Amino acid sequence: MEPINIPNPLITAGAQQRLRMAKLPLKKTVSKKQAAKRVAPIATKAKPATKVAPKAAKVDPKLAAWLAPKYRSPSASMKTYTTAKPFPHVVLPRIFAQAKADALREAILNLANNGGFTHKESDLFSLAQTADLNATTDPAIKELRDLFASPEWRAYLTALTGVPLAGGALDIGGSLYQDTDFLLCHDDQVAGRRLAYVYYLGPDFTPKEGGALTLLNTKNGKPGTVVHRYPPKYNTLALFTVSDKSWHAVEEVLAEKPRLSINGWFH
Amino acid sequence: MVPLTPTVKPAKTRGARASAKVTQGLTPAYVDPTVVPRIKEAYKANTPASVQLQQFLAPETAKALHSALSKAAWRHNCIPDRYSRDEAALPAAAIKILKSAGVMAFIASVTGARVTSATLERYGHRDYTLRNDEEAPPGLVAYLDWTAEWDETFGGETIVADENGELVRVGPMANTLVIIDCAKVYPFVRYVNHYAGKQVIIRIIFE
Repeated sequence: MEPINIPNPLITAGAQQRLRMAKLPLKKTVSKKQAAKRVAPIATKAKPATKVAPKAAKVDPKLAAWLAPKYRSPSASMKTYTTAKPFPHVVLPRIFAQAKADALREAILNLANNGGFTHKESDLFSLAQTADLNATTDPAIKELRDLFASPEWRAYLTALTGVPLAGGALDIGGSLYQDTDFLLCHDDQVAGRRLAYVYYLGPDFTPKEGGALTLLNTKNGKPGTVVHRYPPKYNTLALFTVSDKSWHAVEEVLAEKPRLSINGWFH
Repeated sequence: MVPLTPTVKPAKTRGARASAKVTQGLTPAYVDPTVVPRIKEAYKANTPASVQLQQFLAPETAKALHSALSKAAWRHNCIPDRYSRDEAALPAAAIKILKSAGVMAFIASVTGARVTSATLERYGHRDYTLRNDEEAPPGLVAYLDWTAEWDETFGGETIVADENGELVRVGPMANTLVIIDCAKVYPFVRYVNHYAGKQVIIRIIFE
């Protein structure tokens, strides 16, 4: 289902007000106790066996500059990905080098505070989005965009997910959810989309603060109940295969903090 | 959609007195034979045809209905890509009050469409409906809003939109009859956000 946008002066005014809130400095307010309660990331279930170490050494230099050492062997996470329920997916915490993540956060905050996001609303969602970031002039975001568009990164993702991605298009944009924003249940199915990704750049959210990516199972061809709930965490990448079973949603944000991400699809 | 409020006081309205016996359950201004054609006109003048009638039931009838609705047995129903809400059958006493007040007859007189039954819907925090482009539009949408207290920042509005943008937006309001011709357009109930707390929207849906 393609949601329609509803131009509304009141909504626009609200968006401006909300974007001002985004100027608040991002603080990590999660206590150790709260952090311990968080959903265990699937990646931790993977066995970073010593067997994969030699493969890690062979990683392309372009990827090595980005990826945290434990992610340099994509095949280590492949079984976790392909067998994940309710549909193939993985969540990879602290995936990129800290300096890369910090530069991207600064860039996306800069966009948020300089009119780079437009609030949009339909029956299905309420959130702010950037224009197509394939055309970005920001150096940090362009570097990420170029990485994502590179054959090396696509080969890496194919090795991690089993999804063939060679030569397809890249959709890339920024999303900002603030207090009361949401994205209701849908399956992402649009011609050409194969692999969906969300790279989180906001502060960590506790489960009580909302904003979690939820994955739903399928019953009789329709979305059923929530099977996984992933609160957004800084410098974390979520990936899932787009199919008629990839029912997911973004829970309403219940806190006055920005849920920032760069997200899209590999075709 | 501009709310159409009663503008004629009952005591000074000949029509209201004349019709009092058959439709005494409605606010007298809505019974006035000279007012009904105006409402019909206002309904048809909007695109899509739509009207919102505030203070619809007379106070005594409203009080009786309020009491009858308290016996509803609610259950939560959710099809995630369609809707999330509480639903209930309308208690028999409530149906009796609505029929005796002439609510169904009034809807028929404005729209020309016959409504024979009614059910209850309730929307609280996290509830919504989504447009469903896979099915034909629902046709006539008519409901008596019974929301006690609401703030527009909570969400929960009924919205009708097409590819060119928003056509109708009606916020919850107690004792208000809403009629929208949805023969060609899809309505939806905007997601109710956490500022609603425990407050809920209640609607009597006529079918």
